[in-house]
Amino acid sequence: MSKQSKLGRGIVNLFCLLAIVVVLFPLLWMFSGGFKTDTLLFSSPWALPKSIDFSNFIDVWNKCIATNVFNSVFYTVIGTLLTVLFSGFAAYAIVRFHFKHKYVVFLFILSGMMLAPQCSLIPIYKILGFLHLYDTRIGLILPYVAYRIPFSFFLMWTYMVSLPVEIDEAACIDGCKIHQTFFKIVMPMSKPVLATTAIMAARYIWNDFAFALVFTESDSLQTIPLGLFSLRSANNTQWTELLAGLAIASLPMIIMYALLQKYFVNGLNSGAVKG
Amino acid sequence: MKRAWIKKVLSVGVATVMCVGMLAGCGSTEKTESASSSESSDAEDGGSSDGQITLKFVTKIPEDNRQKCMKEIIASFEESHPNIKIEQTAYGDEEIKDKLKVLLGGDDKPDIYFTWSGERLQGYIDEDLAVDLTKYLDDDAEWKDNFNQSMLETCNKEGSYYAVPWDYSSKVFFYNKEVFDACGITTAPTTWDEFLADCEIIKNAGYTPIAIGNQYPWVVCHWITTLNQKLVPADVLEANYNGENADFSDPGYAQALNMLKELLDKGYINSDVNSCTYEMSQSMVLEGKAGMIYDETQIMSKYDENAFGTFDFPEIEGEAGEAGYVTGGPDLYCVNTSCEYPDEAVEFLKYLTSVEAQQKIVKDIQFMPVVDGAATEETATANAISIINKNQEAPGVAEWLDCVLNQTVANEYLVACQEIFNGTSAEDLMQSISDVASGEY
Amino acid sequence: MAIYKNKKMLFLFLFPSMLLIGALIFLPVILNVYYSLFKWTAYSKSMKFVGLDYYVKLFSDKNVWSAFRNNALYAVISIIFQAILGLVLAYIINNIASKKIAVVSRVIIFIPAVVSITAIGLLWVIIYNPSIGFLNPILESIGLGGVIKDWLGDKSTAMMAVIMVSQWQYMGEMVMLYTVGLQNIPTELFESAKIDGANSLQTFFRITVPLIKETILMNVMITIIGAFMVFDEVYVMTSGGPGRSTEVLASLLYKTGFRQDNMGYACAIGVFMFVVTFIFAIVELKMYNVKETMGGGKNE
Repeated sequence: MSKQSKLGRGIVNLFCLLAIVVVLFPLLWMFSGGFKTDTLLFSSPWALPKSIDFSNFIDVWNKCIATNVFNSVFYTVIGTLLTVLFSGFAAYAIVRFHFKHKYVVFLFILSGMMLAPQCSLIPIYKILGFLHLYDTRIGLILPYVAYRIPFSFFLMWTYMVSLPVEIDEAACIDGCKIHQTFFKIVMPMSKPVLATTAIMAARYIWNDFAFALVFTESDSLQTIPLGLFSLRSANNTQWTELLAGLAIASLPMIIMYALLQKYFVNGLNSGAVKG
Repeated sequence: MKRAWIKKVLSVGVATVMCVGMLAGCGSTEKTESASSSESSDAEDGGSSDGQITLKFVTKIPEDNRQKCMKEIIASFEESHPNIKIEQTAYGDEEIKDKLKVLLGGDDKPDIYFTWSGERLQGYIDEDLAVDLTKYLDDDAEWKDNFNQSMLETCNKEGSYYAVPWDYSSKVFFYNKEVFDACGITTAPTTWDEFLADCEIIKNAGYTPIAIGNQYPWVVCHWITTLNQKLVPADVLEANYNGENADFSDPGYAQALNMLKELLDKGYINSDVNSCTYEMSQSMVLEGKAGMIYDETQIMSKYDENAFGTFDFPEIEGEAGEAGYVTGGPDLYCVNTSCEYPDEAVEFLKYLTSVEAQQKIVKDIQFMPVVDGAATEETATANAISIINKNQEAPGVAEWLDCVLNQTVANEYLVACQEIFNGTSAEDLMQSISDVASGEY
Repeated sequence: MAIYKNKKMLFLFLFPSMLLIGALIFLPVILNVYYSLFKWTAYSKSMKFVGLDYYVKLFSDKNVWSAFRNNALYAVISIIFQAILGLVLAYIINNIASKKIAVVSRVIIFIPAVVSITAIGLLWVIIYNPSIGFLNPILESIGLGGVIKDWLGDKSTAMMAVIMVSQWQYMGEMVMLYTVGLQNIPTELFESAKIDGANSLQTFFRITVPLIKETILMNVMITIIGAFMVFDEVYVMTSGGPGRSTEVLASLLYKTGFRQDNMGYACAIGVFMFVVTFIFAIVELKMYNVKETMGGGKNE
């Protein structure tokens, strides 16, 4: 390789390292902040924590994060399951069923992707109130599922479309009912896209703030983002406690990402190429 | 192996969905235990079963020490009224501004709820959400008369009382004695000129003279409440505030904003005033980085009397407004018109405002009481008693600006409280406020 | 490829999705319009009909337009950083940097995107803070002490400060999105370009960009729609302040409805937001021939 391109490569490498620092540094600072005391923080942002003291983490966990974690996990798990299930149903229907106006239905579901939720906060709030589902677990999960279905449906559909129809036909001949084919054959075959869909949906639900803010009231239903926010706006905010809370809140997703990178990337890729 | 895992997950998923579906049918409130101790538990469905009455009670005091005090008050009330149970939910200061309205419009309506006075109370009255308590007060003259009458009057709208006060908070300057000593200031300022002079001394000594945490603009809005009352003639003020006159052109208004701007320009206020939080500004004074803060008596417990002194807002020469007023406001409690047991609710209100309970809040959390006989030598410090007496004797109360004004106008004023530090001229800001007001009135 | 005709099963399969999307995505749009014709609050017992008053008010409301300008600023900056610089970054990571560094960079730069915006927002509130954050000290130490400001408290810098946090968070996602597109370009093309003597810049503009045109367009659209709907970052970091300098349409909507008790007007703002993003969405749809792709035509 020529000297010039070697130099170019060197510069770019350096730049990448700089980018890594810019990204990692604030996050590491956040984690270390949890171990400090407020006075230390006030004195200098660079001061390293005096000791590995978990008291902030324990305090913030007991104050609210524990319930919040339970809620976030609950909403994420149930919401993801429902999303995957319903989108899978719909995708399979489009791919394997004959019916008139298939194009309309397809468009109907897909165009859900175009409508962002923020402008609909008030109507959904009224709808939930009308159904007496305001400030309930189900009341918060339903909008999550509704807004995740279009993209999940799309992911699954692009995958299922390439599944060979012969397998379904063979199952039919063997006497399988439709739902048996779906659950026992198609779903297992769609394992990769199921994982990706689940991860994409889970990430969105776990990190949501606006819906939880508007559609829930009670403390016992609050999610992690909401808990963090009220931690900050409460009187007597201890900054280091807040940092500890932020660290606890971020950790699960970061760990999940570290372990399941492939699926995160797949989900995005499908969006890029096919979407 | 992975296939079996997927199948298992799916079947668990379906089973869970069915369970969740059944749970959803169980009604609108979840009865999970709340893990946090500073916020209290969910409200159960209101109503009675076997003569047991449950009342939902919404407050604004989630802080640990205040919750402890309130829970003890509730416990002793429940002891003497075994058929009544009080379910309390507490929200923070900012939160409750949004949440309460939503609660009042939803399924889970509170039976007794907190409100500020002024327009905020009026809003609930207009929507028929507050029970008229006049006859309860008239029937129990002792109860009525024991109130601090000017505080009680804030609950009077068009001749009827729609709420009762529970405590009140007034503004006072707290100063760090050590900082003052280090700067050689021996007496607290009493006039605005003395105040400015002291600020200069403190600044030159390397401290921040005044700490203001205006991230939530109600902080500066309180300053403006005081300044407006001092600088604008009382009748003009009254007409502007209650909507008779939408024109906020009295020069006193602009002067108030400009006085604050002057403080910033001269370096007497911390420069990050608009992003500094209220708590941080308190920390600045507590840790000796700043000299003074204009804070509320409700938070008095934070400023230990040995290390921190108090003084009133300085007099301004040639002030056009009434002299001697105190800036402050009561915390009120209303009974919701949807409450099925208003008599019992009023019983609870009577207990909250009884001398016994009032003494407790003075003693435990240093709140200012609204009834006579609550602040005694046993319950309050000498300084607190002198403040209470001063307030009792004050000719009038300048209520919080963001409560007295129509909410839309108040909002515009709150924006102005931040914009004045951003370089917008006071005259322009008052013009915007007048514009918004003329749209509303 | 379609093989079933069982109407009952079809219904069962489609019903949950259609119901949820219809009731919670489409119906709200219609309700927004309906509710915007009345004056009501969260706790009012009845609604008062006001017709199109709120729409008249909307067009002359300087707060709405300053929020709109903030959204537009958001869109422009996001396009520059995410759609454009994201591509540049993806390109140099993918094509120029050494393999190991490339992989590590991509993985790490993406991390902020998986964390909740609330956490990121609050973290940066602390970092921007002049007393306890590290941003100002860093600037001072590299000699830029003159630029120090109260980033979130100063009207002139607050909006940009919030916008930059979004960029920090989502750049990694854009890099990922572009990377797959880049990796789909056959390497032979690059090799033959190199043989022909093209340098990196020429390769970028003449080969790369035209080939991932669709991805670029897609990302630009996503970025624009996202910029007009942004809520979380702003609400969490500044609540629209100081003054109104960081107010965006979504935060204005929330405050108008829940703080200022003007639900009808808030719904009108919602309708406005919907119309703006709908226009962009239509444009995007037009660029994409949906009918053709639906049939499952092209092989992936």
